[in-house]
Order: sequence, then C-alpha cells, then structure tokens
Amino acid sequence: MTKNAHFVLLLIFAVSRLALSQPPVNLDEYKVLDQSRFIVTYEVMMTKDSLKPTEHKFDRLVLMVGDSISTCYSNTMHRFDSAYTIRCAHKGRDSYQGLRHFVGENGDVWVPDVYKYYIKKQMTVMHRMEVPGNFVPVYLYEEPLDLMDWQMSFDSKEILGYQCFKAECDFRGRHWTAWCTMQIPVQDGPWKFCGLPGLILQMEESRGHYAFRCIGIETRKKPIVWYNNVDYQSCTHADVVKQMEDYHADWNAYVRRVFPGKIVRAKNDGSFEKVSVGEKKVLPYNPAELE
Amino acid sequence: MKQIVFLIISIFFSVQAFAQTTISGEVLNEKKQPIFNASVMLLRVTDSLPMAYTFTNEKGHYQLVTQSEEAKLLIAVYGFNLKRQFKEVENKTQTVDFTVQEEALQLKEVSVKSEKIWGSNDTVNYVVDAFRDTTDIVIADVLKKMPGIEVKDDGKVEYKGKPISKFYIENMDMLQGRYNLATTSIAASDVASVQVMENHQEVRALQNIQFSDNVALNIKLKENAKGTFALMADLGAGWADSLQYEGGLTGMYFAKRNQFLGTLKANNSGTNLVDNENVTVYPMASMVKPSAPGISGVRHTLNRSQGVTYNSLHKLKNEAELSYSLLFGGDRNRKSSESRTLYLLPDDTISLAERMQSLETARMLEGSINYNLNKDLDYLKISLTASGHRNWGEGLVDNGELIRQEENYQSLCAKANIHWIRKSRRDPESGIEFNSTTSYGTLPYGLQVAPGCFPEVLNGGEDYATTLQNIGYQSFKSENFLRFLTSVVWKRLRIMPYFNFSMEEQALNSDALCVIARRNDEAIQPLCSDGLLRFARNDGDQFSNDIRWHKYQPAAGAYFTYDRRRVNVTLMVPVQLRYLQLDDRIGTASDKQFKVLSQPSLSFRYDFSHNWKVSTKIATYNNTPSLRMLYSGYILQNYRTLSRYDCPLADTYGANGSLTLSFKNIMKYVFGDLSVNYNRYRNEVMYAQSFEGNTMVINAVEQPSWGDYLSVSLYAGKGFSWKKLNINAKCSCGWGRSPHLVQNQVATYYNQGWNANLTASIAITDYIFFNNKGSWSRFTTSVDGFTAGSQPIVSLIDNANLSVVLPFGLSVTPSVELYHTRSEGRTDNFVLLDFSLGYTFRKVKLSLGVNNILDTESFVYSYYSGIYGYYSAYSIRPRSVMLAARFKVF
Repeated sequence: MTKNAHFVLLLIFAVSRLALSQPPVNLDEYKVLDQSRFIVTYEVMMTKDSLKPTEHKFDRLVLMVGDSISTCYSNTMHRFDSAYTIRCAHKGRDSYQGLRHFVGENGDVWVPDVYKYYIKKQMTVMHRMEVPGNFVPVYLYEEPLDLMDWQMSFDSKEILGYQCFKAECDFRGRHWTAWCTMQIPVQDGPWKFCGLPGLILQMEESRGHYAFRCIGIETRKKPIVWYNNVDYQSCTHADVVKQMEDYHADWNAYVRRVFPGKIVRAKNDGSFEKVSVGEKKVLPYNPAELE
Repeated sequence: MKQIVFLIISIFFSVQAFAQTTISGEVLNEKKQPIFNASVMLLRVTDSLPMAYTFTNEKGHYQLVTQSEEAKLLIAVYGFNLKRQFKEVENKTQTVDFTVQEEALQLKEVSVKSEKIWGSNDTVNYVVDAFRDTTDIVIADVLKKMPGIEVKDDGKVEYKGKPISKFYIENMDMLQGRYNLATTSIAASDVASVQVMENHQEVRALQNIQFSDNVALNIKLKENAKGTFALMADLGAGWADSLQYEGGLTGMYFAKRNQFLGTLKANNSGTNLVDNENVTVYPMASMVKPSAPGISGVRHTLNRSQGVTYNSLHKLKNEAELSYSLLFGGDRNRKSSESRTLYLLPDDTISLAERMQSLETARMLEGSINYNLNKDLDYLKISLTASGHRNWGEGLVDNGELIRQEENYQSLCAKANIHWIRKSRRDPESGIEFNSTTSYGTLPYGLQVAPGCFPEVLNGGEDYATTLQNIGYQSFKSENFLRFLTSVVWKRLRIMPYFNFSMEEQALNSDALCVIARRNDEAIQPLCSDGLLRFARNDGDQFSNDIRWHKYQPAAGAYFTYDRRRVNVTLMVPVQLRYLQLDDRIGTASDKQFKVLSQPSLSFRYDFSHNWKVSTKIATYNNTPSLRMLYSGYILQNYRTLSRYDCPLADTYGANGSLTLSFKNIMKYVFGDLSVNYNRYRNEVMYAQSFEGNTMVINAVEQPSWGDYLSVSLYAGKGFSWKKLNINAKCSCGWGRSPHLVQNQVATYYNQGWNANLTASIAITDYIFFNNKGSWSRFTTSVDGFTAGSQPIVSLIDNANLSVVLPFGLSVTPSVELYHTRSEGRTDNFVLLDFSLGYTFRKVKLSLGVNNILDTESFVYSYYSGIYGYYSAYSIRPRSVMLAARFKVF
C-alpha cells in the first residue's frame, strides 16, 4: 500500500486523469537567451533518505555553457517536458503519465533548473514542486553567483583526460570537495556550483549523500532558452525551503492545502479509496541544502 | 615587560610582512583593451598546483595575495578563447601585467554513453545519433537499425510489424500518406530523435473519448536543420545493357510555422516515381504480364521514370495547418518472365507455361489540399484530392502460340472529406461530431487480344483474329457519420449514439467485340488497321453489359465505452437498413434486396503493467459483392479468362477476432508482440470455375459454403548497447480452409504457410558494420478428398552486407543475396552479388556501385494462392555499374 500511495495519489477534480508529477513545461514556447558553446553532462547521485545511506538514486544533469549565460537542468525532467510538448501538439494517450514514468531503475529527478548570468553575477533557480498538474506555480528565486567560499587544497587528479585540482567549500550545511580543470576556463559547474577558475568536473559531498560526476563534454551550438508560457512565481530560497519542509513533513496536508479537490488513493485492484483528512504522510527529507 | 610585548608584536608583524606577497596588474589584449573575467592563478612552481586565484574586473585589473614562502611563483592567466600565458616571478609584492592573445578553445570531447531509447508508456524516443553510423545517408537508413522499427523498400515504416498511420515532421503532417518522400530525403545527420507514439489519437477533441490503437511517428530535427532551406542534389551515370542514369534535386525547408519539400527526379535505374496512393478504381480486366517479384525495385525494374513533387504546409494564425501538394510522374517499364501457373483441380493439375513480355507506360497527375484545425474543443479537417492516371501497355505471351495484347486506360479519381467536431464550452465532455467522405472515380478501359482466344463462345466455333474488350466503370461513394459525443455518462461508462448514412453507386458498360478475319498463324496482323480487318459486334445480350448498382445504407447505433486507467472497452452496436438494387439494362440480372443487419464489434485493452498489455478485438461483418462480381454479360478478363456472374444478390457473413499480447521494456530495448487472428465466413454463393482447355469461365452458383483462416504471428525486437547490435524477428504461420467450386465439384482447399524473418545489424568496430536479413518460408496447398495435391514450396533467402569505413573518406560495401527455392520437385539456387565503393570529398558523397556482378539473368520465385500455384523466373537488371554523387547545393 505504501508503495502505491507513494506512487499514485489521484486527485479527482474537474480533470479526470492526473498523476503525481511536477508541472510540465511546454518546450515549444520559449525565447532564446544565448547560444551554447559547449555542453557538459553530469551524473548526479542522490540519497533521498539519510537513514538509508546506501540507497542511491541517479539522474543526469545537462550544463549548457554560453557566452554570458549557462543553464543546468535535469535530463529526465527535460524528457518529461518533451513528452508533454508532444502531447500538447498531439494530445496522445500519454497525457495522464507523470514524471515517474520517465525515471528508470535507480533513477530520480534532480529538481531545480539553474540559469547563471555571468555578467550580472546572479543565478535564477527554477524549482518545481512534485505535485500534480498545474496547481502549484513554478517557483523562481535569485541568488548571487559567489555563494561558495572556496579553499584551495594542494591535490590534483586526472578526470576524463583533463588535469584537475582540488578545492573545498562549506555550502548550506554540507562540506563539498570540487575537482576543477584550468583546461576548460569557465567558472561554472553542476547545479549552483561555480566561482572556481575552471569548469568543475566532479563534486563530492563529505557524507557520501550527494555527488556530481562529469560523464560527457561536447562542443555543440544549441540555443539556451527561457520557457515563456509557465506560471512562474517569484520568491526567495527560504520560501522554497519552507515549502519543501512542509511537503516532506506531511504530504497529505501539503497537497490538501494547494489542491482544491478530494484526495483519493489508488488501490491494487485499480479502484480508489478516499484519504481521510487526519491521515499523515511523512516523506524522508535529506536535501542537498540543509540550511 | 612593555619592551618584551613590543618586541613580540614587532616580530609578529615583520614575519607577517615577510610572508604576505601581493601581486597585482592588468590583463589587456593586443589592442590594449582590458579583458574582463579572465582567470589569474598563482601556482606553485614545483608542481603547478594552485595556491590562489582571482578574476579580472571590468578594467582588466587583478590582485592576488599569498603567504607562500616559495622563492619563485608562477602566474597563469587564461580565459575562454584566450591563449593561456604563464609568467614566473619572484615572490615579492609587485605589479605584473599581461598582454594576452585570443585563441579558440579546443575541447577534448568526451561522448556520453547516451541511452539510445527512452520514453514512457505509449511514447518511445530513439536518439538518432546513437544508432547512426558514417555510412547512413538518409533517415530511412537509421530507422532500419532501431529495435521495433522496420522500413520497407519503398520507404514506408512499420512499428512492431504494424504500418504507421501518421508521419509527422516536427509535429506537423505535411506529406499525408506519401511520407516515404521524407524518409528517403531527410539527411540522417539532421535528425535529433525519432518518436513513436502508440495508441495515437490524432484528433485532440476525441482524446479521452475514442480509444485509438494507431501508431504515429514524429521526426524531431536538430536545431541547425530547422529554419534553413536545404537543396540536395543526386547525380549518377552508369552502364547495364544500355546507359543508366539517375538525377534529382530535393529542396527542403522545415520551420516552426512553414514546411516545404519538393523533388525533381528522373532515372532509368529502377526507381518508379509513379504510385497509386489515391487511386480508388481499378480495371476489371488486365493483360497477362510478368508479375514483379517482391524484391527491391532497383534489381528488377527496367524503366524510365520522371517525377516532380511539391508539398508545403503553413500554420495559420489560428494554429490550423494548411497543406497542399502537387505531383506529376511518368514511367515506362519493360518486363519479361517465364512463368508456370498451376490450377490445382480436385482430380488433376493443369499446368500452363507462358513466356511473357510487356511494355507499360504510365502518367499521373495529382493534387491535394488539406486544412486541419486541431484544438481541444474544436476540430475541423477538410481535405480534397484529385488524381488522374493514364496507362498504356502492350504485351506478348508465348504459351505455344503467340498472343499479342494491348491495353489502354485512364482513371480519374476525386475525394473530399470533411470531419468536424465541436465540444461544449461549458461541458467539454459533450459535443457533436460529423464526418463525411465522398469519392468519385471513373475508369474507361480497353483491351485487345490477338488472335481470338474464345472462338466457341464468341464466334460460333470459327477462328477469328482479335478480341476487343471495352469496359466503362464508374463509382460514386458517400459516407456520412453524425455522433453525439456524450449523451449519458455513468461513472466511467459513456454512451454515444450515432447515425450513419452511406450510399454507393456503380455503373458498368462493356462490349466484347470480336474481329472476324481469317486467322493467319504466320503473322499476327497489326491491330485496329482499318481496311485490313473487319469488325463485328456481338449483338447477343451475353457479350455486353449496361448495369447500374445502388446501395443505400442508413444506420443508427451507439458506442459504449468504458475507460479506466488500465482498461479500455469499446462496444459498437449498430442497426442498419440496407437497400440494394441491381439494374441490368441488357441482361436479366436485375434484382432488389432489402435487409436489416447488425454488425456489432467489441474491442478491449488491458494494461497489466508498464510493460505488458493485452488487447482483443471481435467484429462481425457483412459484405455484398460489388458490381465487379455481378455482371451477367461476358467480360474478357484476360486472354485466358472469360467471366460472367449470373446469380441474384448475395451476401457474405463473417466474424473475425484477434488477441494480441504486447511486451515492451524501453530501458532494456525489448519489444514484442504475439497475436492470434481468426476469421470465419459464410458465402451464399460460390463461384464456379470451369476450364475449357487453358481458358477459364467463371459462373456464380447459389450454394452456401464456409471457410476460415487462423494465423499466429510473433514479433520480437531487441537492441543491445554492445556493438549497437539490433535484432528483429518476425515469425508467422497460417492455416486456411476455403471452399471452391471447380469443374462442378465442391472442393475444400487447405492452405498452410510458415514464415520466419530475422534481421540483425551490428557495428563490429567503429569502422565495420554488418547487416543481415534472412527469411524462410514454406507453403502447401492440398485438396480435401482428392488425390491431387501439391508439393510444398520452400524458399530460403539471405541478404548480407558489410560496410567498412576506410581512411581518407573511403568506404567499401560488399553485399550478397542468396536465394534457394524448391517447388514441384525443382530446386533453384542463385546468388546476387553487389559491391559499392564510397568516397566522401568535403560535402560530396560519391559512390561507385557494381550490382549483379555475377550477371544473374532471372529471379525465381513461387507461391500458392487459393487454387493456384505460381512459379516465375523474372528477368532482372543485368550487371550494372553506376557512379553517383550526392551533395548539398546549399
């Protein structure tokens, strides 16, 4: 039951078919911000439950580096959006399939998309809460690029044929080790990481809960785009942290708050049962940013 | 004490002063302009490890502070597109300026082992670059290597053995059914991914209302291929038994709101540029001519063909798509074969050996216009198509005596379709749907056969020179459907009433004329030469037809649909009134019929899980023979068949059912389908085929009979990451029972067929690719209760090719095709060998191909169909050499 409840909580409202997923984005409606000069692919390892430190989940992140802007997004989320875009064009039967269908074995989704603006030294983070349909807006917040205070260490190693040096930082409750190469002279890296004099090819968290490893680099021109037709809501990083804490503390209560319908749970036989108002559902919470 | 404290503080500060070095300066380019955001790093000289770093500000200034005690320091300055610069300096506070040069960054690329396929329940995405290799030119070449997808020789695509119903380029359907123009034109390197959508309901307004099991394919282009006009050119020249050439220009433009694809092509190397895609009327008679084998047209089509196509699509302001296309084609095709036809009679087998030659010329002109507005609440599709075909042919048959045939016909077809849906704004679950299709076709046809083959029937036993058969055939059809999308919804059950009105009119006029003249066996006289030959009309009723056939069928019924997350059930229950009228103005076959019919159908689908699905369909049907099988006056179908049907209006009732189990695991690249089909029918009449020598006469006799057919087919596809290995296997077997009335006896024919196909492709190394396609089949036919039977026909085919990519842009592709056929105690083995050398020079792909190196003269094949057995040795293109170039003009 717990697996099912976690997987599909169907909410009956005017629309009959919905499933657990982030609000999708139509990739056909965008404006071009910049052109990528090269594209870096990272594999991100996540530990969703700190009580189960050996249960790791994986996703791929794509970092597109342009002249003045870079963007870093989850490949799984992008595929989910691509499928949604096709659905917008064709309205196939897929319309009720959530993001979970795009996640493979041991897979999960690295939620935030990050746009880094090199000149104004700021980043915009786009965060989608994992709730069905379009009932929760896409949260947007800005942060400065110099969030990390890097300390150099005298160590080096080779990653994918690039000579890398080591740097360390404490970032929002976690200690991170970065491996960065001068041979790719951009001050960028996966997710929010940046500010080192070279591309970060690897990031490791000291407890082994999170890691980013570069698995591909290609020179490719592709537009870096901003999707227009999305219900964005500006907020702060603290607002998103609060939402995430509420979400994990009691999923049922969170959904009840943001969603104006009745909550039902899919049972094994395909029928539904109502979720009672007092029923609490706690989800494990072990975010990359603890503060 | 104060002095001691002062001393300690002074020592501390002096140490500090000694240990801290500040290096500052500016970084400028060669034009003395400041460089912003360049990295400046202080490195340890001994191991080049970084000690400190900073970035230059807008003025190009930097400042680095270190407490290192090293005697010397290394400063590195670098940035994007800047040439890296090092300077070794003393470890002291100082100013160090840099003048840097620009240099493009050369990245050492690391390719991601990308997942080749990804997707969800009903959508599969194939990443094209993961399947593509250097020898692939057009997208059809790559589609062949994708698990689950097959590409036919003409460029048409099947997914899990099922033809795709829609082909989109960037989600837009420009080419309608003629999408093979795109699969054989779009460069493989321009495509980012191929998306296959199962259960594709193309009408948005019907989504969640009407379940569809169609499969659609969408081509997603790379960004750099969008919005630019590309013109590709193909040129080739060579020699077979005469000069061979091929040439073509293909223009393409694919943007967000406009698409265009135009081709201008000509060749005599085997590609036929005339097709019958939108033809709705077919001749009732035909020359006996060589029947082309089911292998690549390039092997056997000895033709001269020209074609021009223009296709374009525009997205209008209201997001509707307006597309139009114009096609013109011409083809002249020469064929020859030696064949043997077996008539498997209950107590005997008649064998007919024929040597045949034919020369056919075809011209076509077709235009179509489509408007498609596809929104959530509104749908409107209007499509108009008109096509004209003109065909001439002449043929010779030698079956012991020489028979000369000529045919001449032209077809004109027009089709209009309006499909409109409007859903309620207040309640999007309800709405109204109207769908109307009207088509008209006309086909005047003429056949001349010399010498006269039916003297007993047509000329009172006297020899005569020529039979002329003229047939005029017209058909008009209109189907109109009105449906209320929801009248009742109870839980997930939806009831939708509908009304349908269809009408069909057919007209047939024919005359069989024999030309009376003394038969001259030494020389067949030129046909239709006035003065030499005397025409005589057979005035008897039995040689002419003037018949009208009308069918009116109003119907009402309801769709019952039940739709849940994993279950979909659709039941259709109609009640039809059918009025048929046959108006025979010359003969005596006039008849009327009025019937009340019901042909319900049921479909069911259940998704066991993400990977497993089961679906079943059961449908009943009722067919009435069209005018093609109702004429009472003799028509010469070909030189050896004279047919007439003499019976009242009759029906065929039948039911078919299918059960399909589907498996798909996208993560493991596995696709599979197992399906069982069964069909059973009951005829009210039987068609008696009787032989007079080598000629056959068909008469319809009222005698009920039944037959059935069972088939089982298995499709399996598996892709591997290892060496890009891809395997597709398809096996099928079928058993059929069909009754035939032959020489006044009812005989049940048992047909059995087995077929297995296996295709595999592998990249042995990054430079060596291997493809193999093997096929085995076995057919038998036996006749119940009689000794006459036949031996099985067994054929084994294997096609293999190896592509080796060599340095300097060269590649070689040897290929071999092995054929083994065993039938009627005769075994035929032959080999077709080809070799191709490719060379890429800048953007020009050159290829030198030698086909049929062993100069094999004919292609041998045989099969059974109903009461016939057929064996043919078909003349193919002799050894040929072709030098071809393909390049992008701009």
